[in-house]
Amino acid sequence: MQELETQLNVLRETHALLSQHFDQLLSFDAMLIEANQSFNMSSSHSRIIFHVIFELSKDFFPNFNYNSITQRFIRSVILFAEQAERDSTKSSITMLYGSKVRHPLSLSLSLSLSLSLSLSLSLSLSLSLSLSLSLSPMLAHSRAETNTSTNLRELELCRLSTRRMPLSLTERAVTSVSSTCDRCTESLDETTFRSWSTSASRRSISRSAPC
Amino acid sequence: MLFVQFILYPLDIYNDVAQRAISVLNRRFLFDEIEAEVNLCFDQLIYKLSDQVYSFFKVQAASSYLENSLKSNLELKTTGRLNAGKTRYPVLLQLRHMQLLGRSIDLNHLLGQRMNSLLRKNIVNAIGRFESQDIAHIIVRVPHSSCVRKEKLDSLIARCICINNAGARDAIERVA
Repeated sequence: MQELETQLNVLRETHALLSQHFDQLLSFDAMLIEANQSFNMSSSHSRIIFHVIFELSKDFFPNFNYNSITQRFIRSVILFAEQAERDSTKSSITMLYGSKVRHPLSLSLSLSLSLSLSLSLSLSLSLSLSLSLSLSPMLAHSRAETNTSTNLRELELCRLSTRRMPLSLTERAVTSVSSTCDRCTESLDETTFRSWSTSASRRSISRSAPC
Repeated sequence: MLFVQFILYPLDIYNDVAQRAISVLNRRFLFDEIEAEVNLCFDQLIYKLSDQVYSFFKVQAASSYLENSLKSNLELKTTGRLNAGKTRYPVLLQLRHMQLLGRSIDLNHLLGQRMNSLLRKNIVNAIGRFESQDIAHIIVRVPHSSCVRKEKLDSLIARCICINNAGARDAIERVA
């Protein structure tokens, strides 16, 4: 997100600079909407949001555990979903930040920008996703599941039974979060969430919103 | 590209050659040959030039996001790259009537068309790059660790999650 945001900001700035000299440029927002495929009036789908949802449901929900000591999400040892295939796109340097390393000793623009980006990326990783609050019941749920299934047989059973689960869990989590978001504007307290998540049974997750 | 503003001067050679072929040598086929070559050459020129112009403005834009200390250090090593003067490309871009083999060419218009397509291509590329990355690259900014409890979801994730339930279900069905 941060890289995309930076790139789009740079592009917006580029567009602003270019439009001082060219008068037939289309508006940046129109181009962004076109590229993002978010021109549907009835829904807020777009390529970016679709990818976020895809990553959350296919990779993040089934495969990540929340480590409460270090307060971050880590990829769990036991994976409940296969690794999703992603298209690999090679983009030229002009398409990234517009410059390339010319001299081995000189730090060039793209290098320094990506360097600062990766630094900030690791910083924000340590701060963990802010999603940790809103989605913690779901994750605590999956964590409890991995903890309880100690022996191998149970684990296998669990794996079999959860083959369909990530999707339904996602759906439930999304509906529950959105319903809380509708009712209360503030994000929920962590302790409330914990007690809620441990006490709530699997079926009543979506119903028993604490607010 | 220090003297890029003079890049169109060599094209005057074609003008002179064409004039000589027509009025002194009186050879029509020679003029046709020259014209064909000019067409090829000018297409290549526009292609290269638009890439250069685009990259120039993109460097300008990207460098505005760098810190000043870093920028001044970079400026020492890459002289005139981050802060090029206004005499380089902007001079070229003001050209609206260029005479080439008796035709009037609007260079600004031609480059503007290419800029449009380059910008669009670049946005698609940026989103495509985002799509090729995993969850670790989807990071929501957290203002401060002590504010975590009170802070609201980042706008995009909030938009992603707080879309109405029907929309979310529909999206997840599409994912499935």
